[in-house]
Amino acid sequence: MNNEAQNGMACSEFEALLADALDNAVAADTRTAFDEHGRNCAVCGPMLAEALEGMVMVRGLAELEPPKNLMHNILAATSRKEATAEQIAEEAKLGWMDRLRRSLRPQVGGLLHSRFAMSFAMAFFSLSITLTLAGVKITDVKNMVEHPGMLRKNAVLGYTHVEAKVTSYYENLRLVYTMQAKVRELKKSAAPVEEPGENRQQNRKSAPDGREKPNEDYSMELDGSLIAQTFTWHEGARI
Amino acid sequence: MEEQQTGALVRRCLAGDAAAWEEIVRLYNRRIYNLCYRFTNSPDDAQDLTQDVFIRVYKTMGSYHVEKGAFTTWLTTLTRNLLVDHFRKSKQDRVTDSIDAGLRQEDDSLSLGDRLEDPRPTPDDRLASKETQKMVQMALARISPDLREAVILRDLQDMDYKEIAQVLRVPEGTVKSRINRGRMELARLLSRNKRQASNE
Repeated sequence: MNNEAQNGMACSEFEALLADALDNAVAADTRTAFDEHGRNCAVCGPMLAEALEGMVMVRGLAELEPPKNLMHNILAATSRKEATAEQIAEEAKLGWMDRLRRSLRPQVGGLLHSRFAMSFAMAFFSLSITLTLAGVKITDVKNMVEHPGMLRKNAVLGYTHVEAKVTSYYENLRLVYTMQAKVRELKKSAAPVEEPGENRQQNRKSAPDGREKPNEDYSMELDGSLIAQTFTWHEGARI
Repeated sequence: MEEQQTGALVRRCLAGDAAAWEEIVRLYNRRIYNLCYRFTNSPDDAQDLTQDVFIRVYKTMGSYHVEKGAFTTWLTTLTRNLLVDHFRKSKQDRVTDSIDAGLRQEDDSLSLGDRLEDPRPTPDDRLASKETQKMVQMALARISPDLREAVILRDLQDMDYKEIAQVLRVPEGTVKSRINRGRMELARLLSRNKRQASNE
């Protein structure tokens, strides 16, 4: 661009004033020099014409009507964001059980029908009675659920408790059997010794139909000789 | 006066008044949509971007202070930033025709004032048809983004140079220079298109 002054105005000055001139915001005396320069300068004249044409073209563009749903979409999007923020704040206040219940609601919605609800009520009633009879308290279950770390501890404690009960039961049983065996031994030693033959005779005599009753306590050969005899009492218990 | 009303609306909106927010959207959605459409040359993109602009406005309205400047300038700055982001993301490869390509010889016998009152068919008359509007929009989409945004803000959004300088974060002289270059480039593109159309 030519920077030499033409008609009292340099091309750079003309260019600087161009935008204001197109807005009619140039002082009158400057305007005269500007117009004069634009008429006579081979570079600035076309530049002015082009700038003017471009401006008129763009300003001639009609304002567009936004889509009808645009405002609705904007309001819907912003209100959804607001709702989401409120929802998040509300959910932050809920306990984890409530959140679980809320998340399960869509899946178990159909199960809340009256016939299913009655079945569940019955099942719950049965379960609660069973638990009560078994000595399980609801508070224990609640504690276990709220403190999952206690679950293992409770299981170990429960197992140890049952094991101690069983061990104690068998220890007591053994003591009873021992005592019974001792008593029988004492009785046996206090009683007079009888001949085996007499015993056999008595057993035969005691048969109600007069037939000889076979002795079931021992095995005999065909000729009547004794093969083996079982012990009737073993530590007080009949085997 | 208008800014005071807008300021009051913003304050009400920040206080949680949904009606105030609706009023802000109603007042400015057309302006923002037009700005986005003229810049992107796509109705769909313009709609999406307008929506994004208002969502951003809704979220960041607390950062706007009436004493810092006009709400319109703040809103336009926010829109412009989103448009620039969109432009970068879409990686539009806009080919700008060379400004040096053949300067036209115009009738320079008339002063600017005379030319503005030229009784011959004015550019307004020429723009009457939809086809011309389309051509101008296409030409606008082809000039470089820096020039385009300056021209749109001045000639379509009717902002003054100071506000445009604030939005674009460049000096006023640069704004004027960009506007001049943008207008000239647009005129050349249109002239070339017309010549091509007449040759065909």
